[in-house]
Amino acid sequence: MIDLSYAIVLGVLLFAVGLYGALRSSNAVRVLMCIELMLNAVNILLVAFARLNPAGAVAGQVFAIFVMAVAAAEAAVGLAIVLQIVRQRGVAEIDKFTLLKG
Amino acid sequence: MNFLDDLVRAMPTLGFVTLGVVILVAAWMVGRVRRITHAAFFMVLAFTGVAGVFILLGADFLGVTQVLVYVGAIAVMFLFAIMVSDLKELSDHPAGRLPEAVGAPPVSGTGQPPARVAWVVLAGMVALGFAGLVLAALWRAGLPVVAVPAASGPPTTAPLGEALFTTFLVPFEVASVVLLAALVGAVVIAAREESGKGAGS
Repeated sequence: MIDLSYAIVLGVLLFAVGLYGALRSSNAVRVLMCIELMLNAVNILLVAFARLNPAGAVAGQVFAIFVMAVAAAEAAVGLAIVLQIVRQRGVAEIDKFTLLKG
Repeated sequence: MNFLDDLVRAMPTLGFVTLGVVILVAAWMVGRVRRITHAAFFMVLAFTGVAGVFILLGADFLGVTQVLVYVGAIAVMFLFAIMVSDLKELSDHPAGRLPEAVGAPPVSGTGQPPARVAWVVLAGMVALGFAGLVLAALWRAGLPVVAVPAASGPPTTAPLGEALFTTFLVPFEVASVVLLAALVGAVVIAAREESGKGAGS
């Protein structure tokens, strides 16, 4: 038997750690990694809260699958953009990504 | 014998707490470790731990999907991106590499400009404030202290497939279109350089 509050606390803490990493990093690839961790935390919370209602457990897991699909799409496009900027400018620091600044 | 029974009963909780500590430490290291390649491998460790958490929560199909999608696809994609971008020091400590960082005097031994330190402190405060706020709200609302059986019951694959192809059929198809669009978009964006450079110069 597992207490569901453990899973919820773990999800919140993982989200906070990912948020901290995403905000403090200056490297674009690392920011993307931390965003993936935050999406994972959301998945944990979805599955955990879905377990509260036995009839709704499947719906929560389906939502987690959709989050995974969107996360995969986001990582692919995000990494392609970062790769392109790194190729053209030679830096991966997001402070230097000022293409739209004029 | 009694002690053994207690130990067996506490096994899922022990495993869960161990997994949670591993996940949190790995996630912390993703943001802190110096080399970006090491950060990617710590990310793999965190993803694998999350897969274990899914299986302990009774979502076995989701756990396997987590390993396949995150560890097998996304992490490999990150590693390929790091390899292809070919920046030797893709680290968060570019002091001494960037031209403006060479001239600036090192600040209090950290080698980072003061604005950067303030920014890191601000990031920590935001994350701590977020966690505190959410946990306090959950505490006031009453954390659901519901003990659920760990990883028991029939596999969830059949009900998940049934739900995906009946109730969630339209979102399922939309997700596949989103994935296709992301696939084409990533190829177009990442492969633009050769043709653009050939035409531009």
